[in-house]
Amino acid sequence: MIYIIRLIKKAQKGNEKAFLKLFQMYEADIYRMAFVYLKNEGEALDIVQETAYKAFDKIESLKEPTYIKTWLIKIAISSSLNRLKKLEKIVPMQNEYIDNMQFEQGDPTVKVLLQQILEELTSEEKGIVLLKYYEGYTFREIADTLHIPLGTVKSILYRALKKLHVQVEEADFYG
Amino acid sequence: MDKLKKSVESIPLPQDLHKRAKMGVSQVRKKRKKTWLIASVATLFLASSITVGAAMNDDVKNFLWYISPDLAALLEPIESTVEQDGIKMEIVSAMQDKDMAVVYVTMQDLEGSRIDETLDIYDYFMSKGRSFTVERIGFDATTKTALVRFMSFNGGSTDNFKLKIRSFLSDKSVLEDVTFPLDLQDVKEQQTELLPDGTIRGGASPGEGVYVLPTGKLNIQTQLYDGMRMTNIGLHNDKLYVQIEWPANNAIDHGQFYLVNQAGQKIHPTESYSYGRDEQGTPIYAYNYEEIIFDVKDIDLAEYELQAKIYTAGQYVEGDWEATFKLKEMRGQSVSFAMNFGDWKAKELKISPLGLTFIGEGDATETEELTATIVNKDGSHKELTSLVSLTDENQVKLKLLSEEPLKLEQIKSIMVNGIKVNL
Repeated sequence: MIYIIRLIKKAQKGNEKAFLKLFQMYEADIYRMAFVYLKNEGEALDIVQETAYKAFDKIESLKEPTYIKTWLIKIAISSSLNRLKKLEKIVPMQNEYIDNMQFEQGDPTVKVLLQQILEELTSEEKGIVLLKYYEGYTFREIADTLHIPLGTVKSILYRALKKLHVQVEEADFYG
Repeated sequence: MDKLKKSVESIPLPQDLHKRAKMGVSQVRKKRKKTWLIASVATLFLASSITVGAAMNDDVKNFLWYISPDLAALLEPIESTVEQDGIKMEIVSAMQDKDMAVVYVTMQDLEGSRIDETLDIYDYFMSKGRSFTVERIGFDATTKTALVRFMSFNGGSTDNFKLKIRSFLSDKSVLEDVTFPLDLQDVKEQQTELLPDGTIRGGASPGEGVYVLPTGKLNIQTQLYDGMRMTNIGLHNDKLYVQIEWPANNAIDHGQFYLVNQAGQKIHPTESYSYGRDEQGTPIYAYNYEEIIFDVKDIDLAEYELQAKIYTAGQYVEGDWEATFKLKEMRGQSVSFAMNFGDWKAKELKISPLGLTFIGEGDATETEELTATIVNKDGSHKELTSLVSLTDENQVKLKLLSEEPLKLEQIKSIMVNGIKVNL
């Protein structure tokens, strides 16, 4: 973390290389989260670019370096949702993306589950599932990040997991 | 639940992922380094394959006819319009070749006078490209509409292009010969102090020690412009230090300071630093202070006075004007070409309606003199002088932009630095 804090301080003084080193640690997560929302490589890459832009532009406002990842993810989620709103107004979303994606060989159920996440969940559900199971956030952290009451986070997650036919284990859910 | 994580992790990462992060950062750099450019004479170029569209906004169409009948006759509007807070942005044309994209946009104020002939797009975003430029190339006072040209370089070919304007400036003015009411011969010697690391926003290289005057208590303002004040001035080691305080919430207005004598001879500063101070005068990372340093060795200061040229903007408007559209592909042709420019050698020449691209090897960083004349079959000539470097590591790529559309089928030959290239 000391290394990250050093990078953040340098980035806050305008050091681009430091910012890019920092951003590189999180760009894969940002891309994948954006992809889940937007279901399109080009759009997700636009969000990565926009997140880098906004974050570097406003990094002076980041008061607590330990929250860098949460801060970047917040920017990426908000950019994705804004983009989604605009896209839904002007063009129908493409659906052939997943067939064109180059998956590594592995468990075929993974691909099926991904398709379910992309297709069957609402944006709100996607955000909570991503933060809980991809980023490993606690319910409290999700509630704070998305500005949703704690109880609502749990009920939305429960609904999302039911849609995905994922077995809900109490220890996992309430832990 | 591990499966959920694995499924998201299975989304493959594109190769240009980090490149896109770099592009985002470079756009911040551009915004921060933005300088004030007064647009020169309006120049327009569009490709010949574009045709008139009937659905185009009448105001815009009339305006384009007014600025350039040639352009208006060639336009195919994209009909992508976005309106926010009474400001309408319309994409009127967009095209690309292998190296660059050009987008023409009109900005119109439907409610007030926020768009004027000084319009300066301050903060913008283009989804493709590694370097960007924008300039206002026309304004119609009747419809309060400005025509703006965006250019993006090295973005590669793309279908969907996104352009977003986040803020713009207008009501800009330049105040000349703003004079500080003080006699430079009265300026006293003072000690300087080292600025702590991390308080400088511009002007210094990393690791370089920057010395400035201590916080001063002077409050010298100029008659012409009251947006800044001089807080200290002093001499140290044959250098004149001038300390200026700017409002903390105004990063837009700025000035060029100089010493001038009665004969009009000017001395420009050798160094200038932008940094910050808090209310107690303690240096912080901000931009409300500026230290301007002149080398005045062997200069009789009694003969000079301190003046500034101040750039101001009465309007700073923020918003979110975004459009996604397709770029029309401008096809070109490649010509066998070899020329030795000393530090670099050209081995290929590409021609597209947007301009000429020279591809070669070597070091072209010092190249300034590269001009071309297009000789058309009807005997007319066209000079290309606007040079853009798209050089990437080992490969030299220089582009000479055309101010008017190049009609490839009409070109007979090209003169490059006076040497003829037949097509």
